Amino acid sequence: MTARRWIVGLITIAAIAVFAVTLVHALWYAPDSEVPAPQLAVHAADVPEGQLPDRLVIPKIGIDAHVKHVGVDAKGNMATPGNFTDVAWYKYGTPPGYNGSAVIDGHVDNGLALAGVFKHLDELSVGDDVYIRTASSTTLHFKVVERDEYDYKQVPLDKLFNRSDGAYLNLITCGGTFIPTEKSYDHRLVIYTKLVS
Amino acid sequence: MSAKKLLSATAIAFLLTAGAAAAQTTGSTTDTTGTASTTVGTPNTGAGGDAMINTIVLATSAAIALGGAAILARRRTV
Repeated sequence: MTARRWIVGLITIAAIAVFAVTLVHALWYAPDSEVPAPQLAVHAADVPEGQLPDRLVIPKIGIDAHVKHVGVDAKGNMATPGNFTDVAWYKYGTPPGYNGSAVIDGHVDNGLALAGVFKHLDELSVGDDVYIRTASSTTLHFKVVERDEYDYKQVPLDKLFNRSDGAYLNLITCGGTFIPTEKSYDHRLVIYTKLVS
Repeated sequence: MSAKKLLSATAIAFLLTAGAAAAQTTGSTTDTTGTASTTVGTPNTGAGGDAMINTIVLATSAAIALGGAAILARRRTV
């Protein structure tokens, strides 16, 4: 009798643990495989820490999110924030407000297909306002100048990461249909914004 | 092997499998790196494709947990 109770108890505890881990993983915690990349220069090293992005605010779609600073993952792709509520700035690129392309990404949905931070990014249109609040509480104002959706293997990477004709802030997230074999959506939505003040 | 032992063994096997499935990350698995050697690839920012398996794992583990708790509670009152 005692041994059976122990077995049932252990199974119950294991089931509770699996439930809790799965729930946390699905709703809040999205670990990414960011890896060290010493061959890439961190542009932010030349920028005062107070001028680095701290929050992303988009009033039209109700976003007021913390900005994490991320690098690359093992596949050489831009890494993503470790949860579904923060956004992530590519720290090997341009900081927002400086000449070049600052890139910020965010999840479109979580592990239960509920809304992620960038779920409503597709509602933005040309002329909409986007703000970055820096660590020193300076506010940078951007306006949407273009929006495009691309096949996930045909995103113009130079346009997204490497423009030099102005101070851009580009927001990117997934779209389209999920490809189970690739564990990826088949489109990428990019909102291009340009510094106003 | 009794029915209860078989059920217990099946539940343990499922939980081990579910634990392994839950431990899988949604990190980028698609190589979208550009042709330029210093150009990074686009991020993979969607986890909704895992919704079905996550729902199955949650529902099954909850059922096992509730069933086990009920058995323990019933034996305690017997």
